Amino acid sequence: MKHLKTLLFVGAILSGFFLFAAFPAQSVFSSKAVLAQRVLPSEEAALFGDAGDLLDSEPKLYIISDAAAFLEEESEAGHKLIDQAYLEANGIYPLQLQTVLFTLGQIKLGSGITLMLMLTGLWLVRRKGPPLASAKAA
Amino acid sequence: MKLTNAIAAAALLTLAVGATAAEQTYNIGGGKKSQQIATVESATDFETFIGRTDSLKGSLKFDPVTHKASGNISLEVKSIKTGIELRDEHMRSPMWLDAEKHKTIDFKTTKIKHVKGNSYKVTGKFTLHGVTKSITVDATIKHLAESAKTKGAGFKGDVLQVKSTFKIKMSDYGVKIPDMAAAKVSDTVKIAITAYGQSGK
Repeated sequence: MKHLKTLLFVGAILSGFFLFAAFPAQSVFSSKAVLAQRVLPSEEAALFGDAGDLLDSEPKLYIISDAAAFLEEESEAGHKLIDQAYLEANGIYPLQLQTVLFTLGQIKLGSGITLMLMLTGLWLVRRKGPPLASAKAA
Repeated sequence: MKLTNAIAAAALLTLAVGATAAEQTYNIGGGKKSQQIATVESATDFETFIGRTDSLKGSLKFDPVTHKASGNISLEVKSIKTGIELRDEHMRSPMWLDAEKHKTIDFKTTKIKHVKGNSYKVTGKFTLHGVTKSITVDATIKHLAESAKTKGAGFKGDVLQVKSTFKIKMSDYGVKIPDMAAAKVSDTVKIAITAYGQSGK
């Protein structure tokens, strides 16, 4: 019973940690995200006055820490452009904020459910504890 | 005298227009690989990912004066890359696009209508996963006459840039997204094509 209590307690602490850590993590990633479109620069596109061939149909929020991945030119709508050739040459995966938020959402949901289960388990164990102890004493 | 000059000018103008109005055939896929690009964009809550290929082939007939056009474009399914090898393998597998059985994705125009400027409405037969459907898409077609710049970019003859973006439902073409992948791959995907054709060989 003592081991179960410890296990439930540790589980509750860990799930609580993940649940509450997910909130600041979301803020940190959101603050790093940049609205941009990936583009593949090419001589051919330049012939027709384009910075390159757009890969994203619409701008997306990307988390890319390497400033060199961004082109000086902007899209017609004024959004930043990410050099896809640079990403590929440097092995940078174009991480999207929506992926991070989706994953953090899953972590919040999972750890929230786990926390509830652990706390319920602890409550049940504590509730059952005294009668067992008193029975032993008798 | 003035009338004679006007007739002569009109005749010259007609000749000049006639000289540039000739319909030409533009080959796609004959030049540098980077001259072509097609993307397939799948958007879900989890991620928006892009499959990309530069393996476009085909030919277009285009007249920059009369705006008459027709043609066909195809791409190899196995050449589409998403940036993650495992995802590419899944995409090529019989469960999805079945690249061994249905090797290409094709588009053949049946009607091209000039809207304004470089804008066109293109109707054609789109074939994916062995299923052919008639679709109408918006496209831009830009023409550049042969010059030092076009030659510098590796083109031979006049150059044509064709761009189009349109959406299709994968289920309309017999591609069923497995339930386990439904959160990561959307049934509706956006296809974008930028193709460059050259009139020279």
